[in-house]
Amino acid sequence: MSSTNDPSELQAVVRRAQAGSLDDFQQLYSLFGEGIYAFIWRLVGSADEAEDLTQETFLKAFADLRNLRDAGQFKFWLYRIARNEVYQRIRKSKRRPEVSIDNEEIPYYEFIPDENSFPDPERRMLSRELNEVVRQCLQSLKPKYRDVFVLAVFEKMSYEDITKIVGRSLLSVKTDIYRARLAMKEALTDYLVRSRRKGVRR
Amino acid sequence: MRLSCRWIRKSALEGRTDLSRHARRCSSCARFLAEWRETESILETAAKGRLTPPPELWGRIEQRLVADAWEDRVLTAPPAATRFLPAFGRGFLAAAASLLVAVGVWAGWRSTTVGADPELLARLDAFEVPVEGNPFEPGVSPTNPFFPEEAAVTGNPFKTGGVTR
Repeated sequence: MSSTNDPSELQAVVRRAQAGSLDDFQQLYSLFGEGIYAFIWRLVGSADEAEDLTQETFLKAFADLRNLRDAGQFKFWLYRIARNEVYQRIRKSKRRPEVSIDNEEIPYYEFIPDENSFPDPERRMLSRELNEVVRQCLQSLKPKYRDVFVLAVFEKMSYEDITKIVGRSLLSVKTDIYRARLAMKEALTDYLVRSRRKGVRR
Repeated sequence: MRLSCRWIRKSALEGRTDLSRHARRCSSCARFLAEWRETESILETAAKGRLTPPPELWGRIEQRLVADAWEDRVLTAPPAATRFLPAFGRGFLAAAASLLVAVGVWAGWRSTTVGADPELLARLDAFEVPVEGNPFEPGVSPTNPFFPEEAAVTGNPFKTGGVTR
């Protein structure tokens, strides 16, 4: 299977994985691994932690897969596990990630700008930089705003789908996304104003 | 910022109202809209790319899954002797072991009862040691039943220095 476009085929893969097929579980990883990694990465803001939590998410998913009743809900179920893993990590560490959008040090991570959208290498570089700025601004959001915002903006999920993952009402999700958008606008505008003052060409 | 502006902005961000119409006659909302468009543009640019996990991540996950499965199998496995036997085989083995124990007990019991020679038993019962006189009566000197040719024991044989022949 090359895509998730065929729900019945995806459900068949999930059912075979539920029966213990590691090959089919690997197929599920190849379908959702990147999305889960990106989702976690944007929530925690660290490539190392994202890697670790992605691994934990898939290990937990494999262990609990038999308990999933509706194979068609696999994607939301998986994102829910990922989100819980992130929340558990945040609770354990008892700290919020440091917010510093002036941090000059850009950590290494595998962000690959879309070549079709940015054929010009300079634009691709800009895309990388903006992604880093967004990463830092995202960390300034409360976790409950951050997860719905990432799901809506980066994972392009509908509000209804987001409610299935975060387990909150549609109204609450809409309000949180609205507040997150406002907060992101403030953080990014602040960043742009500072950059312009510094005379950095963006 | 007026209450109506706040409501219009919220409504616009939820996709229910067109903020640009209102922004034509409200400078505050016009600025907000400009900043908002810039933010959206940044987010859109940042979203046009892939955040990819390291290629070796699946290998690590698979390794853990295999290790966990092995651990589960070892912890929940039956004892080594019966691991490869089907259920019927295990029952059969248990019955055979019980039978073997029963046969062993019966054989042990039989060896202590059967095999004793009745003639020998009769001879043992009839065996008498000829003793002259009462050996427990003082002054009587019984002969040694085992060495009759030897002199009779007198006195207390257990008393130090009292043994005389």
